[in-house]
Amino acid sequence: MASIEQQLQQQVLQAYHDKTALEICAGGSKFKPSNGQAQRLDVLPHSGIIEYEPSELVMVVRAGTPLAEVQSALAAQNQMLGFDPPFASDGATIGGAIATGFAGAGRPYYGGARDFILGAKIINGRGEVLQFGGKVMKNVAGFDVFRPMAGALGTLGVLLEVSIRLLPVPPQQKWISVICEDQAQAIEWMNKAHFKCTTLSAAQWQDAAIMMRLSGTPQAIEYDLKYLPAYAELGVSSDAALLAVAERRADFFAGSDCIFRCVLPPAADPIVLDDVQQLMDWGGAQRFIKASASEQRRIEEQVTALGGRAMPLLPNRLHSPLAGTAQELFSIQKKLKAALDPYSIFNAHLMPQVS
Amino acid sequence: MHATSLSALKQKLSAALPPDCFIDDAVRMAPYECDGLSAYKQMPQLVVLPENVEQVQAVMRACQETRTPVVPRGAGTCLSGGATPHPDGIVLSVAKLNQILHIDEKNRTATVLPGVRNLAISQAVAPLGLYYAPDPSSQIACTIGGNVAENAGGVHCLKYGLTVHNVLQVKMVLLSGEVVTLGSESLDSPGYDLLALVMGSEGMLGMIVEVTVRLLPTPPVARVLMASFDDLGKAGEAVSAVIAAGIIPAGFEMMDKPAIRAVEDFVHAGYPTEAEAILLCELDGVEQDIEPQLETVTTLLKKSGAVEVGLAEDEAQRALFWSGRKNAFPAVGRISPDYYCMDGTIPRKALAHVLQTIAALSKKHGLAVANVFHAGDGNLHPLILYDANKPGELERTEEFGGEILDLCIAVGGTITGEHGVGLEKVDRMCVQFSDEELAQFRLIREAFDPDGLLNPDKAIPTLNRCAEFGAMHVHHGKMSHPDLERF
Ligand SMILES: Cc1cc2nc3c(=O)[nH]c(=O)nc-3n(C[C@H](O)[C@H](O)[C@H](O)COP(=O)(O)OP(=O)(O)OC[C@H]3O[C@@H](n4cnc5c(N)ncnc54)[C@H](O)[C@@H]3O)c2cc1C
Repeated sequence: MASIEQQLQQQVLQAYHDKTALEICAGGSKFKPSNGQAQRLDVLPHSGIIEYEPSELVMVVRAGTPLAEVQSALAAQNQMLGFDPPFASDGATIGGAIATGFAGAGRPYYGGARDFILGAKIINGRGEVLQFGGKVMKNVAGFDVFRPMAGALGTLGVLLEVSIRLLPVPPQQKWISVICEDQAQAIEWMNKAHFKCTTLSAAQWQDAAIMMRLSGTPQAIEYDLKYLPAYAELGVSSDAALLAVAERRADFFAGSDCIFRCVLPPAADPIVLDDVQQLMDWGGAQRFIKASASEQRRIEEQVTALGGRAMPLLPNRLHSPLAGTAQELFSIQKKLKAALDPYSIFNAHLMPQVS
Repeated sequence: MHATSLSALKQKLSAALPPDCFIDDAVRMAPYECDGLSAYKQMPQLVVLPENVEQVQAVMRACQETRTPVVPRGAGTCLSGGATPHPDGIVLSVAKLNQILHIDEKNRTATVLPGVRNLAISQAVAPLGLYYAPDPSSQIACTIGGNVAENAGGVHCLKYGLTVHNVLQVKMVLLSGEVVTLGSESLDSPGYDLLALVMGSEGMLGMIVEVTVRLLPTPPVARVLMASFDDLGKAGEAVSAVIAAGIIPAGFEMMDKPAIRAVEDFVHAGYPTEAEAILLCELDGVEQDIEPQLETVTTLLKKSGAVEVGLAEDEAQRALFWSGRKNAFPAVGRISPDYYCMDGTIPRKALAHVLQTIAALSKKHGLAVANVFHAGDGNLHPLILYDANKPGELERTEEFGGEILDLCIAVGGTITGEHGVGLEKVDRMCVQFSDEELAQFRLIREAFDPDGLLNPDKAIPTLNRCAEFGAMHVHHGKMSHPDLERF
């Protein structure tokens, strides 16, 4: 009997041959299958951890493996994924986590999916099974084709296997809250903390308070606390609250108002708008603004002037990592796509668009 | 190159650049005939040193129009022949593009031209308590543009990452003359991550003309431990033991006996010359944090069989310990007429096996080898000692080196951890990658450079080249290119 990998490859070969569209599906936790004409390519059965040697700090895993399974295997060895991928409890897979590149609150301090991926086995749009990168930390043989797979939403190829660099779980974590009405002040404090505190691993501002997470040895955390403005130690973990922002389940995201996601240099000045609610994540580098859709122009203008980029969230409260490509890059992006998927068979509905 | 097209090129260039931006006499071009891998030498047609981005654009356009190969060049410290000139082409040097444009203290970034030296960035931002983390041993000389092109790593990349993890944005001139900005000063940019693709692309996708790097706060304290072992395998296990305990040292380096002895004779770092291996393990952070960690690491090292573990007493001794490691290459250069620096990465657990096999290969080829090793991330640098004046010795050395690389692949590693493929390892790419994978690389390259004029013949072999090489080699147990005629 053909292996699942061979079955997937067969399906892609057929689509390549017939020039028909495929929609890559896995856990369905982030983007629900579209109602388009495309045939579904289901990666979910391609599941299981292939190699995990804790002392190498590397895991090789099939793309359809549930994130929850990966996380619990890691937790058993006191290790973790560095990029905090969301939606594990909704059935997200590791492949989907890489393909979307969505990262949680630790993003500025630990890195994103693209920083932790060490290699990938893919099926390209010609139905070829290819392996790029590897399972070692340092590897400069050939182009890092695996890295742009992070955030490509499957449009560059089907992820079959990924190898991922891991982190040890920090010996201790503390969550603290700093009262801060003034947004400019909050930006300054979060950035100072990033500079001063090696254990800072999350910093969020909403409802006139900064929430910070410190992760490290008790001694290092103790040391860092000295540098923080007046704070209250939260007795319990705030990780659920941090995750709720990454998964857009926090109260802030409720309701029918338009929400804009802005990514900026972390110390950029506040975006000034009257009577809107704002939430800052990633130490100021990711900001959400709840405003009426008519504010889009004003927000975009300000954010662009601050050196960043603003985008309205999709109805599912997520954003497409491919949306809003700069015009000057569009032609290379299209050529890169064609180099991997000449007939655009993969996930045509998620393709990059020009801003 | 045809004299007519060279003069056509020169004509176009002299319209765009002042005369002191060209070198075309053999004497002044001589320093450009090779990079750090001096076994490969080649005179270019012309060396061009633009002073600004507009001039780079003009040069690229002129080269595309005249179909002239372009070899980008930083400081020329590349160890794989990546910056070796093309006989029909120009060398495009960043020597005059060497200003730091902007330091953004609040956002902890610096924007620099590609010719700025790696160490110069850290020096410029040191007064702010910041530094640029990737620190290749060549950092006093190598340029940030070259670092991006090679995705350079350093002693501290186990904890702080490679170039790819520390660069936010790159501006690059395509062969068409167009300037593109890849990445941004935010944490994500829309569309495909082209920035990641350009990291380590060895000058084949475009000329890098501006780089924005992320800066990190300088750790208040750094302490280094030296552990000596009477057995290489035990030293390897010690490395895994520390990492398995959840400690990520800032630097974790290993040297074997021949390397230790060469270094000790040269810099008198206080290394134990009777040891089979030493490990240098650096921890950084705040004093209160490091003290207990030093104890834990010491215990782990001793448990793994370290004969002795010593802590550098003060900053001077720490610098001395490191100077041994950082001078390992020149130290080996003193004891042998020539040496060949190899570069491969292996999973750490394969270390003992790989080092034993290298020792056996060393016997077989009758060539001594000294091993220095970024142990923490499995990146090994065997230095093969040889004498280029002895007939056949370079050939034997290359064969030996090739076998080491095959070994790296066989244990699940790679043929280059940080020095790049360049000209040197282009044949070995046929061992590590299948025909389809190599074809995919070529297609990606064409997306940026359809004419294939940027650093031709480097890094990605043609199918024919692989067929020639494959006549001697077997890929993943299969004869490669069964469809092509053997010769
Ligand atoms: C003693 C010694 C120690 C070393 N130690 C390390 C180490 O620890 N870690 C490590 O990673 N490397 C190390 N290297 C290798 C080398 O220093 C690095 O690869 C470095 O990044 C090369 O930079 P460079 O400026 O010298 O580039 P060059 O050697 O001039 O060029 C390297 C490659 O980059 C391309 N290139 C250069 N500039 C540009 C540009 N602006 N745009 C596009 N392409 C460009 C060239 O075409 C070439 O392919 C060492 C080398 C030496 C000699």
